[in-house]
Amino acid sequence: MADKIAVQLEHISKTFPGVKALNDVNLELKEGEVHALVGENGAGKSTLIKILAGVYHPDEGGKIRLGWTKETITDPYSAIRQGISIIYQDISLYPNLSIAENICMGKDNKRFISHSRQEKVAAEAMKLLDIEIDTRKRLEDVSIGVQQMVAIARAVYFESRVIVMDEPTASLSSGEVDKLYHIIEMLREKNISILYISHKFEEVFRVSDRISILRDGNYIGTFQTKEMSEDKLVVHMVGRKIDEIEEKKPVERRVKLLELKGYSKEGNYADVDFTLYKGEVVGLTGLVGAGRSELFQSVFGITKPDTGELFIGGDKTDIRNPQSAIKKGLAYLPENRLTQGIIVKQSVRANLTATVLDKITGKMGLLDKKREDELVDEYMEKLDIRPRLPEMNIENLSGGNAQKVVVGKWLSTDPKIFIVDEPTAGVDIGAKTEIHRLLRNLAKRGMGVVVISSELPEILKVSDRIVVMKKGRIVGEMKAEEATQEKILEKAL
Amino acid sequence: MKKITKNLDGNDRLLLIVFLGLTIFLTVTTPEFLAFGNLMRILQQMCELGIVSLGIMLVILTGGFDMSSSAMIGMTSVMVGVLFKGGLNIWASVLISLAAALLAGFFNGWLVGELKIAPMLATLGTMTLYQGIALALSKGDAISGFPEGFLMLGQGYLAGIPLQLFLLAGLVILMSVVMNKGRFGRKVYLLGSGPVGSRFAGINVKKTIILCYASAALLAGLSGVVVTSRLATARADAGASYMFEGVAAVMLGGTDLAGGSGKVSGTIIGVLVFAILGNGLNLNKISSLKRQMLIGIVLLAVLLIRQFSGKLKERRMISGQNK
Amino acid sequence: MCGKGFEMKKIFAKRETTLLIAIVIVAAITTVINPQFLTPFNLINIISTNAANAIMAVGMTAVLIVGGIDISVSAQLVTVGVLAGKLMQMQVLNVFTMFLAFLVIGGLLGGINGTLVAKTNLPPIIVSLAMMNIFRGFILDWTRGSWLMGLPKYFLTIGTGKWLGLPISIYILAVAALSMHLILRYTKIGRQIYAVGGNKTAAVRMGVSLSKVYIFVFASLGALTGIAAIVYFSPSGAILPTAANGLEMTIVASVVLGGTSINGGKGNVLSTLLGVLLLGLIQNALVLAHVQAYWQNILNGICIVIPVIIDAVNTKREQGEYR
Repeated sequence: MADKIAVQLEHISKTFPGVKALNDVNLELKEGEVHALVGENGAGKSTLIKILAGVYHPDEGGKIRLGWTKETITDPYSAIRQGISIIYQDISLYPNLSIAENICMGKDNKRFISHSRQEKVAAEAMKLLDIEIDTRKRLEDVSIGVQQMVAIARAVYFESRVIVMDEPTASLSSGEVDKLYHIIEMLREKNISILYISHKFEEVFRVSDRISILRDGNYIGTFQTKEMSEDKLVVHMVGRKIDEIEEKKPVERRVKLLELKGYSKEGNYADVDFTLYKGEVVGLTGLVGAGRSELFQSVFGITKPDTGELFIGGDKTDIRNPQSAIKKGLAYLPENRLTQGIIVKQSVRANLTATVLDKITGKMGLLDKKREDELVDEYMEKLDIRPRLPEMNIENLSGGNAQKVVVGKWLSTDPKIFIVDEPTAGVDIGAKTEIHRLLRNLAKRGMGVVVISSELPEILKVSDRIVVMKKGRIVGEMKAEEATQEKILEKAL
Repeated sequence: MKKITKNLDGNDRLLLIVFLGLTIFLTVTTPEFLAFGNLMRILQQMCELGIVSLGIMLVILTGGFDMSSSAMIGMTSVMVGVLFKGGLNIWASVLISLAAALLAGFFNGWLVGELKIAPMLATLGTMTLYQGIALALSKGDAISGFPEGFLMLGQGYLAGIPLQLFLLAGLVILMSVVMNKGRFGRKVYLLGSGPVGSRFAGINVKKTIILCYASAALLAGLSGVVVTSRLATARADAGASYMFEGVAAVMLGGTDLAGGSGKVSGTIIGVLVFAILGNGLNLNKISSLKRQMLIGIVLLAVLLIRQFSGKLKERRMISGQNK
Repeated sequence: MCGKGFEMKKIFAKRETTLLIAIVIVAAITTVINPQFLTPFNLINIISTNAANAIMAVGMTAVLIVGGIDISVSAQLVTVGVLAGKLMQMQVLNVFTMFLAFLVIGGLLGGINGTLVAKTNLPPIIVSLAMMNIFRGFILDWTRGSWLMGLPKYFLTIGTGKWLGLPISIYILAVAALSMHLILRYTKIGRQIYAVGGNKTAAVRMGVSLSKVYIFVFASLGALTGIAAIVYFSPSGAILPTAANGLEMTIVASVVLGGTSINGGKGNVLSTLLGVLLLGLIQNALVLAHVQAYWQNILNGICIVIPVIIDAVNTKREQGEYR
């Protein structure tokens, strides 16, 4: 491995109004190395990529030095010209154009386009990655895996010195993942540096030479992968020893609240049998894209399963929309707080009561203001939502408080079954602990809770029973007292 | 004074200034402006636009758009005429025509709510369709010869006040109550602000959207009946400018084109501003053709002002989301 | 994975094929009803009467591909006509500078729309709705609706003249369509148009200037509308400021019928031309079948609504949502 520096990031900070997303981050990328960047959600990884891509400018004092040129990065186009390619998680290509056009777009700067030349060039670029394909095909007509390869071929064709890959395996099949590893190896041989961002430890340890860690916008350090262990990495990422799991009494699994039999939806999940008992917290984990959220969105009536039977309290039922799910005692706290959880531009009050409009409606379809006030007061108090201003626009609340509003709006429906999807993503530590405690308490009082989370410490902390999904199937189940991170990961990977 | 302005947001203040400025200007320059008869005329003329604008606002609040309001007015007008000429009782004709408008509105709503077609496109198509139906039914002719009783609706006065003003007032009150205090109104504001979040919260988004388009069509239909009565003629191009003027009035009234925020009061003041503007042009013998152009300019100006004053705020929001 | 069956499916999925089949069917039916249809005279006539529409539709294709829409085209058509017509009346133009004048004035009008769309976040439909009213109001107010007569001979020749047995308008259409085809297919800006329509975020990340692309497509549409104005007005020998009311719907209908997606990203000149032809054939067939002209709008509406519904139903099935 050459030791020449490709990219040097110095004192990079980025402040958004009210948030310091990055705080004095230093990072160096050597030529021909695969450098993994890890950190929890909200640690600042995507902000850092966007700075490297020229989408954001760092705060005053931050510098990006490139090893091969004196030029610097001022805007997205200059980043591409200087040889930095970003392969975004959403791939960021044009579904309506052919593979050839996608690869050449932006590089082929001649005013006039020769289709045959583009097709040839693109075919060559794909061939470099050992892929033979008709480059006249539209991008939307090929698999996500191939689309990812097109993005990489594009980066290579652009003579990029640095390729940033943001969760590149999120939607790949295992065959495709192997292919990707192979390509990364080839790129490394070409002396191209790769910044590899991933949640998945297995990948990080398999592909990377070095690992850098971000936590809450701070740079924690860079380590040789060989000298790193998963446990140490977790400690660095989370910043503390994982909290002791509070004493859990064994749950008596007698009353079935929810039962799924043979739930399948093509491309999402398959043959899922699942049971939730009264009074227990089930942790559902697995990699991103394992089909966890998709499964429970179907249970909640948002998407339609292809096959499968659903039992609530032992009765076979059919839920075709969230309204009927709520009526049957289900509540679902969705994964994406900003678009699915809160309703932006509306007040805390309107958000808190959005799920129970029927309950607070009095005569002639008019809202009963008094009942609404009582309800709002009750939940703001109970969940300690701050500030106590029900008329405030919800967007002005901190992540933790906004999440509490979402929790509150579901608790006000009096659910028997509460499904929470990544309940603490982007939530500060304090609120996180409160939410965990709340979920345990709800179960203690007889609710059935399903916690969907990628964060293993969280899963271990709150669950009585842990279910692991992989590629849409349930691949493992264990009691919390027997579970460890290693055991879970073993199943999930 | 300070207290009052403090309670108003930027847009209300702007609107109030425009409204007062225009009134003062016209009072000073045009003596007949303040005459009772003239004021009543203004109110009479604003009713049709006012009624249809309520519906336009309702649809915009859902984050949608209804291009077909004018076509709906024309279609209702022609249907009333054709059915009446066909020998039906006038009020039966009116009821059937309103039912047809409602049906057409449900079709709009079905396209947008159920099939999830972009509202602009869906209603652009149905606008052409409904216009076509109106033209085909009337063969491009104007129909007249309506009975006295029907003409009262658009031409009659009660205690010196034009009759249709009672209709508008009633609708405004109803709509204010529904939007501010009703469950339906709350649903509309919620889903206009966040359709996905609302759906996840168990609000029946489709049904609410469909109802909004249907109500908008019914209101446009009512407006069409009033126009027909006031002009004593049924024509396919009745109220042809109302879609555009209505959108302009709703925008002027502070409704957010993206959905989720907007008030009935703002819309009505917006309508009033345009009514006074039209009346002022009339009194000063300025071609009414300028009116169309002026409204276009006012609409663009208001949108641009709002855009640039809101830009800072927006930028902050976006960067916050990207964290 | 994808054998012959896949390829076959692909061919039939192509919009052009579907359109051709539709055209043949309509042509066959019409020939049976009225044998006059299949005469060279009638066929050439169909193309030349639709030439102006086709030129505008070609421009509209690019606007729809970037995900925009411009419903002010018919207003632009008369505005260019009147402005350039005044220049012609002043005797300052010859046949070459006339083309230039129409092209440039049109480009400028379209450029206003493009700039407004590019520099603000306002939806194109609102911008063009406002501009439509401003253009129309301005022209009507200025000309008071009176015709521009006494136009120079070179202008009139274009409408009546023939070259090699074909109307001149057909050659103008050919040049316009070919230019746009080449731009969309073989130039950098053409590729950027598809890129912005396909994935706006990605285009920005790759350094494509959105403003440039928006202004380019709207100005091109304006310029083509300018050229279309020559073809549109010269046969009648006069410029009518009140002409082409609602023509924008025919234009949008034929582009959408041609398979250009209103959500952007997809479409091409050839399929738009086929769309115009199909719509023109149906119109012609209705005339030959002695159906009243009032049905034209219904036809336009159906031509927008039906393909859109089919598209929406297909997407919905793919997404597998409830109800």
